[in-house]
Amino acid sequence: MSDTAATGSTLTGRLGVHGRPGATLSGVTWHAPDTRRALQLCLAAIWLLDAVLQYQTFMFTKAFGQMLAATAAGNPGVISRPITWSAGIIEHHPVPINTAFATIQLLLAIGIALRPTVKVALGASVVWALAVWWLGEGLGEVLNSAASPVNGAPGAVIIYALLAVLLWPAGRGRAAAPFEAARAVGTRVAQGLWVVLWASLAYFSLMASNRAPQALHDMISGMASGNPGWLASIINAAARLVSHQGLAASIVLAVLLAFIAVSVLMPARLARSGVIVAIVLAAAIWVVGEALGGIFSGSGTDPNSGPLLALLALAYWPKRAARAVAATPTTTEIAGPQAQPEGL
Amino acid sequence: MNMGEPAWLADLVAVVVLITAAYCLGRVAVSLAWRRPTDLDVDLIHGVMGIGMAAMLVPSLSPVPNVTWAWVFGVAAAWFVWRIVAVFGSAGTSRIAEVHYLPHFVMAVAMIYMGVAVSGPAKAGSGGGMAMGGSGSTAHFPTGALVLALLMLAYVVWLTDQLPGIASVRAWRATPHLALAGAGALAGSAAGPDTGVRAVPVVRAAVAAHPGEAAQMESAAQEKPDDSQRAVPLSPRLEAGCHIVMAVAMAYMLVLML
Repeated sequence: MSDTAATGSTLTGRLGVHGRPGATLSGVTWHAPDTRRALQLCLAAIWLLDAVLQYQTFMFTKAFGQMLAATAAGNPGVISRPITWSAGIIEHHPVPINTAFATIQLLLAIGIALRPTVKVALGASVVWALAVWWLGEGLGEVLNSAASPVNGAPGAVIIYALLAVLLWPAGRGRAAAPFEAARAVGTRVAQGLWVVLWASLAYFSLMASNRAPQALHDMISGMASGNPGWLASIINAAARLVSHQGLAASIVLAVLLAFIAVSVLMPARLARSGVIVAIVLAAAIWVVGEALGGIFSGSGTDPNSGPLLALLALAYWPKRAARAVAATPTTTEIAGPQAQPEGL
Repeated sequence: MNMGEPAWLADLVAVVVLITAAYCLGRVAVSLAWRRPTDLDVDLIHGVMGIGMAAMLVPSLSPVPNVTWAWVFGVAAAWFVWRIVAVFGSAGTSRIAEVHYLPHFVMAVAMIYMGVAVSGPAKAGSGGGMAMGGSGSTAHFPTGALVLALLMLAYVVWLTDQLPGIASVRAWRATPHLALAGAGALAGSAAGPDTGVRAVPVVRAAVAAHPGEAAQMESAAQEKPDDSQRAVPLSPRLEAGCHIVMAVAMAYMLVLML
C-alpha cells in the first residue's frame, strides 16, 4: 500500500509510459472514502435500513396510515390537518403509497452511496425528510409537550435532513474546518445547529411530562414487549433503575445534554469529551428508550434517533489542529488527488 | 395475486433474485464456453443462492426442504472460508482482495441461517418452504437476523460506493495490456507480487475487487499472450450489480424474519 500511496500525482505519466498517452481508463479508478464520504455512507446505510423496514408487512396495511394519523394529536390545527388528510389517503391506499415510500427511500440510499448522484440524493433526502417529519412524525411531537429525548425527539427524520446538510459535499477550500460538519456550512452555523439540537433535547427532558416520578420508567418499560429476551432484560433493568426517580433522572439527563450542547464551543479536548458523551448517550437512548427503533416489533419504520445522533456526533469530532490545517482529500493506493471527485 | 397482501412483494423479490441467479449462471456458462474470465465460484454460488432465496420466499417454488438449502450453503460457506484463508496466505494481495470473499461468506451464512432458523407452518405442498412474506414466520434467533441484515446493508452501501470505480469491459478492452499486467499483480499467484506493475495503481485497484478474474486473466495471458482481447472479463460491474441486488433482497428477507 505504501508504495502507491502517493502515486496520484504521477498516475497520468505512468499510464502514458505503459499504456496509451492520455488514456483515461474512465471508470476504473476507485476512491477509498475519506471521513466525510464515510459519514455519507453511514447515512446511506441508515436510509437503506429505513427502506427495507418500510417494505415490512405492517406498512402495507391500513394500520400504517392509522399510526401516522395518531401523530396529529396535540398539534396545532395548521399542523395536524395536513397530517390527518395525508394519513387518510395512505390508509385507503396503503399498498401503492407504501410501495412508493419504500422505493423512494431505497433510491435515496443508493443515490447517496453512488458517488455521481450524491448531491442529488442528499438534496432530495432533505425535501423528503422534511415532508415526513411533518406528515409522518407530527414534527416529532415538539409542539405537543410529549417530546422526550428518550423516545426520539425531535423526530428521527429531521436529523436525516440535518445530516444531509452537514455532510453536503464541500470544496477543498474548507478542508481546514475544525470538524467535518463545519465544511459544508461553516463553523459558526454548524456549531449553532449543534447547540440548538442538544439544548432543545435538554429542554425537552425537563418538561413537566418527563419530570413526573414514573414518566421515564413508564416510557422505557413500555418498550420491552415484543423484543428478544436480552433486549427486554436490559430495558426492564433500566426501567427499574429510574422507577420513581423521574425528576432526578430528568435533571441528570438535562445536565448531560446541556454539556453536550456547549461542548462544541469549548477547546478541542472538551469538545471531544462532549462528542463521546453524545455517542454514549445516543447508544443508551437507542437501546433502552427506543428498543433499537422497535425493529423487532415488525412495525418500526426506521431505527429511530439513536444511530442518527451518534452519526451526527461523529461529524463533529474535532480534528487535530495540524491535521485540520494540512488536510487534503484522502486517497488510497489507487487514486490520486486529481482523480478525486470534488468535495465528496 | 392479491395486491393487498405482502405476498405479492415476496413474489416480486423472488422473480428479481431468479433473474439475477439466471444471469449469474449464464456468466458461468459463457465463461466456460468462451473462456471469458469471471469469478466462477462466486457466480455459481450466487446462481444457486438466488434459487434458494426464491424458494424460501415462495414455498411453492422450493424443490427441496429448507434444511437441504442449509447444507448446500454450509458447503458454500466452507468454500469461501477456504478462499479467504488462501488469499490471506498469499503475498502481494491488496486489502481489497483480502476482503473480497468475506461478504460472500456472510451471505452463505445468512442462507444457512434462513434455512434453519425459521419456524412456522409450511404451506401444504410447499415442499418445506418457509413461506416468508406474510406467513407470519418468525426466527428462533431474531438478533442473528438483524446482525446479518445490517451486514448485508453495509455491504450494499460499500459496493455501491465502489461501483463507478470498478473496471468496465470497455476499459479492459481499451487497455488490455495494462489490464493483464494489473491482473498478474493482483492475482499474486503465478506472477508473484512484484511484477513491476505497481506502477499501474489504477488498473491494480480495478482488478483488486475481482481477484478471481485477475487470476484467470493472468492464466489466459500466459497461455495466449498474443490474444489478449480474449481475456477481457465478463462485466465486473454487472457482477457487482448482481451482488447488490442479492444483498438487498437478502436483507429484506432477514428483516421479514425479525
